[in-house]
Amino acid sequence: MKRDRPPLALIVPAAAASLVAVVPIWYLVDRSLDRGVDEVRDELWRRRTLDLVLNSVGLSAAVTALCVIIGVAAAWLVVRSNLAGRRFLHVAFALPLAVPSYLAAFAWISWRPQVAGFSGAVLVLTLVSYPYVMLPVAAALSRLDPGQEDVARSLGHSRLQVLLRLTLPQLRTSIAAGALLVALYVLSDFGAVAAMRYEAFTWVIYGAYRAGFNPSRAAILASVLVLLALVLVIAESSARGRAAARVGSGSPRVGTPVELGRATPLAYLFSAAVLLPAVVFPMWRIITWVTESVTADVQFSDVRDALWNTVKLAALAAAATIVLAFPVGVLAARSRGALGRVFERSTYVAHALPGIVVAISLVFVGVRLLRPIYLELPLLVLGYVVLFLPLAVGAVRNSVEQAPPRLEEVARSLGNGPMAVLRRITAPLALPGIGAGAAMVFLTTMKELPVTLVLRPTGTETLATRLWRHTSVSDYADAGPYALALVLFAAIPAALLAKATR
Amino acid sequence: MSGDPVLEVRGVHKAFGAREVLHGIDLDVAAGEIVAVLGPSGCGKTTLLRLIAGFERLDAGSIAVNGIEVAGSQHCVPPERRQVGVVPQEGALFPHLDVARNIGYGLHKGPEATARVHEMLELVGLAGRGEQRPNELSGGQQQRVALARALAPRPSLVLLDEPFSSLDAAMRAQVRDEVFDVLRTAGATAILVTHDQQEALSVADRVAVMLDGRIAQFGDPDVLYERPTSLEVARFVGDAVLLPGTLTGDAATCSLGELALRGDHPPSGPVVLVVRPEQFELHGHPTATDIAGLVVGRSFFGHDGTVRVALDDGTMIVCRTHAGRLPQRGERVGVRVGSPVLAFPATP
Amino acid sequence: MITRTTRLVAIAAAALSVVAAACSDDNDSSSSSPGSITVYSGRSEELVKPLLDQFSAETGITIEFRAGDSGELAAQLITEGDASPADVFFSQDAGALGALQKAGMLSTLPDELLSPVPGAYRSADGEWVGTSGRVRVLVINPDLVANPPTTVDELLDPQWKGRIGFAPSNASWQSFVTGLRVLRGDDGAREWLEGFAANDPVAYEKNGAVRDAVNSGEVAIGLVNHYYLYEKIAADGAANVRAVNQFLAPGDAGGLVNVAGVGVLKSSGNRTAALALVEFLLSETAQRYFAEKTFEYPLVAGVALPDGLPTLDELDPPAIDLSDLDTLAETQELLADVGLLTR
Repeated sequence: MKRDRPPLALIVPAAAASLVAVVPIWYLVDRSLDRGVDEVRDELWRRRTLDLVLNSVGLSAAVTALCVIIGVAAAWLVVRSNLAGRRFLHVAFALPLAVPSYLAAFAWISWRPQVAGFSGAVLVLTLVSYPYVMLPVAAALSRLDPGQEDVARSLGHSRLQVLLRLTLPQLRTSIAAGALLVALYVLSDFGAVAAMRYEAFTWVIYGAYRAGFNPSRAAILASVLVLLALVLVIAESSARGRAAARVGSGSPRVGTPVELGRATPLAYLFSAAVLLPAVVFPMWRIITWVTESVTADVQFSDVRDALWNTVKLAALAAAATIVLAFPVGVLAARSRGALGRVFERSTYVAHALPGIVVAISLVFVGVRLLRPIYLELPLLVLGYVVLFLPLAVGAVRNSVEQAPPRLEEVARSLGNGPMAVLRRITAPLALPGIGAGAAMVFLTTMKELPVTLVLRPTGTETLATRLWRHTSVSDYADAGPYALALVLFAAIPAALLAKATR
Repeated sequence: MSGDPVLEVRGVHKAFGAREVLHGIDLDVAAGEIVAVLGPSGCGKTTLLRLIAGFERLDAGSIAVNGIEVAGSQHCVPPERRQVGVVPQEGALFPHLDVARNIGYGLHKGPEATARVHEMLELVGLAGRGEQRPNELSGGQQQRVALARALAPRPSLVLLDEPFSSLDAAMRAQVRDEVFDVLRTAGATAILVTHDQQEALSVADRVAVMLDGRIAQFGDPDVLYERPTSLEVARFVGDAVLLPGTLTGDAATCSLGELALRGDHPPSGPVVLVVRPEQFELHGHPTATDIAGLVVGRSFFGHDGTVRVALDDGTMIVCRTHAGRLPQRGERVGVRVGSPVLAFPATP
Repeated sequence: MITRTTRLVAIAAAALSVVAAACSDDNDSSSSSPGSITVYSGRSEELVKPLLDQFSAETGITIEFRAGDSGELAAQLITEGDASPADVFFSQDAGALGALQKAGMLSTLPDELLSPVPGAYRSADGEWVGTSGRVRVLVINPDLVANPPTTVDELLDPQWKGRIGFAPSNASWQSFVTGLRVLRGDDGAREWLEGFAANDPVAYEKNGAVRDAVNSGEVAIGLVNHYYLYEKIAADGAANVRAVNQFLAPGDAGGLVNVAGVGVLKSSGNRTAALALVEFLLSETAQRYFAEKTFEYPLVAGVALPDGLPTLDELDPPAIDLSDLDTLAETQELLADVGLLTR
């Protein structure tokens, strides 16, 4: 059967984006086979490797499950309930995105060393990553036709039945997408599990670099994370199902908020139980460090320069990532062929890799192919693109899926070619979603450390590298102002994200 | 038929996976003509329309617009180069553009475009509403904007896909009349896809009845009604009471006695007779020899009405009669067929 | 609504132009220009920057300074290979230098640079040289410990159950365990570690936290590097610090000395300037800086030690070839096995 092939003008940049995303895979394969296939088997066929993979999978599963529960509950509270202050809460629930996991972990472990271990890692990673579930679910919830719920109630279903049988199934796509990001993120995290001394798989990868000085070993082990990522991506697309398109085109009505009644105190309790440890606690710790640093030697101009560099890099990363993610997201949303799926999934495979592996793989590619920009700004931005492409691809795909394909057909019939339609119809309609994707990349870049550290132009300091510089010599007080600036300024895109999903 | 054919569809086949939805469609539309494609949902009529617009590729056959082939088994002209306008269900106005920009979407920017947009706004009776947003318009107004948008670039052909189905019944007739007045005023050639036989019969010059992926019959509305070429068309176009009977020579016998036939009819043997509700004549106080039954249902429409009669042998019929002569429920009535009926071979 | 589409296009265009602009600037700063070298440093910028500034002022050689984790920088250097922009690698520990040496990336240093440093603290082949040393010690709270232990085996005594602090993720602690493996073999090291684990040591995030816990009396003894105590004395004043260092008996595995060191890349485009930096780091100025600023051991003979420190000769640390401390991966495996890695 013949199919309409998407325009080359989309396929070529999408293929380029996909190629960029799998750069680390090239490096991993090259380095893994460096010492022969036997070495690969020996490295993988160890009990410790299996133990640590299981540790990581267990952590990832626990954090993802908790994030889904907290994320869905928080989204439902702020979108569908009549809770007073829910608009404020909507923004507040997104704020943990502004707290880097290593900083959150550090805040806890330096306060109560006993939290170290599995529970500490679960605590910290859940608190910083549940917004990945909450934001898309809140957006999907506010798009749902509340008429459906009314109908279901009138057919004799209780609120709970409506939630379980009607609402949740329709949120499946957004939950799956958010859960995938959380699961991959947890697999790739090193900062939090290192501080929490929970022996995750990334330990041996970092160990292979830091303690074993054996990049080949690190590459072989990191390949396991690529395989895990592939499994998760495939699992997600089956869990995603077909995106349930809204039937009927009437403007979505705002549903009648659900009366919480006697459950109201419970809702506030829940909000406090999430926000106190996720937002208030790290802020309190940071402010403590800052007030302690009155005596410390921190130049205001250093903080200002680091902030400016951070914002500049984040803006460049967001722009470049969106530009590359756009064709991939559009193809994933619109093309019925396998190509769109392949491109989209390829952007996720490196997402479970810890930052150091991505960084070293860009060193590998940089010195071989991109020598003129090696250790220059463009290569660093490329590194961010590799790291964060899935965040933007997901946002673009999601928002393009919301735009009815019929509008594009009509535009075609009015004489526009596919690229003109993309520019005049699809892109403007998807703009809010694209903006949200850009904000997400911006925010995540602000917090990024390992790739920044390895690839930054010599002399460039960001808030994150400054934080590292001071905390690595256990200088909490000097780190305080940088931590404060980072969290405060990252809170701005986080709040914007919450507004965009309203 | 007048003028040269604007659209020629020849032997078009289309399958989705293993399921073939169009099995060899032929359809001609002449310049200035309005053709309705009428069929039940799932018959393939929307697929045909999407093939003509260029949104889907055909598997076999060809489609030509103004004598130029736009789709064949080997090539496919993209929608933007076909000069075929589309008015989809619910209008599908671009939500991020105002009314004037919606209408001007297919025009090259310039003073002519501005003039054309004004002209179209006038034509659809929305002068001065150009700066409104689609969501500020009523459903009927949205449809008119969608039509103006499709007509603005002066397409060779306009395709309307169930354009009134989302409107409520009270508005539907009015919007429909407005839309087709506009189409006629513009001298446009158009295809209307609909499942509403009343809509098709009332607005189209010709109607193509589409059943199960085939054009069952294509002709003037009155011919379709009076002389359907198959039982399926007879059943789909207009109401019909179907009675089993036996045909001998030029007459047929059934539970209503011996009835005269019109049109071509099959050779002697078992047949199905098609009686239109208005062909029945009812009278009170039937005698013992009359065919009679009991009135079991009654619908009053103002100028006329229908009654459902259970004949003594158990056959159920629907009769249409003048409002003044509607019998009451429970009344016994005699039934006669006042004019020749249609006969089709009985399918075993 | 032109505004919206054009805005989108404008955003994309602006983004691209910024990237393009970013691509075009900064290409004048190349390490190969005379008088400039690139230093990859595992030692923190806070610590060594003043020293390097002084070097630049004296020699006119400018330094492109890139800080990072020593091991990660080693991986970066190995991946860069011949194309590396680095001239000098300044490492926090000997292991990373050993790895680069094995990868064949370091050039042999001239004898006159190597000879002032004792053979134990430089590469046998002369490809790297130690610049400063640190000693593993016990930090003790004299209020809680009357007769301080002087060997690591004494720490297994039940009287210390639950009273010893350590930092399981700290690199120096793991180096000590690696040294233990070298000295006693894997089985011997495991035996000690199991005994240590059975004594319920208290885990802390960092060495600094161990020291503070000892000082406050939370635990009696801590396993740390010698200079943590002097940092605290410098910050809080000697009168306010209760804790004291207890050096280990001569030859005891617990008294391992590790070094920070420096090597010059074979691929260096400015070997003269690179060697000048090595020479400077071994100069009296720099050696004294390490002693005074970081309380580390200077390695060049004749440079005064920080007050009150026994000399390395007096300490007589266990004889371990520092290049053998590159099996940390196996050490971590062993630590994980006995349950001390993540405690």
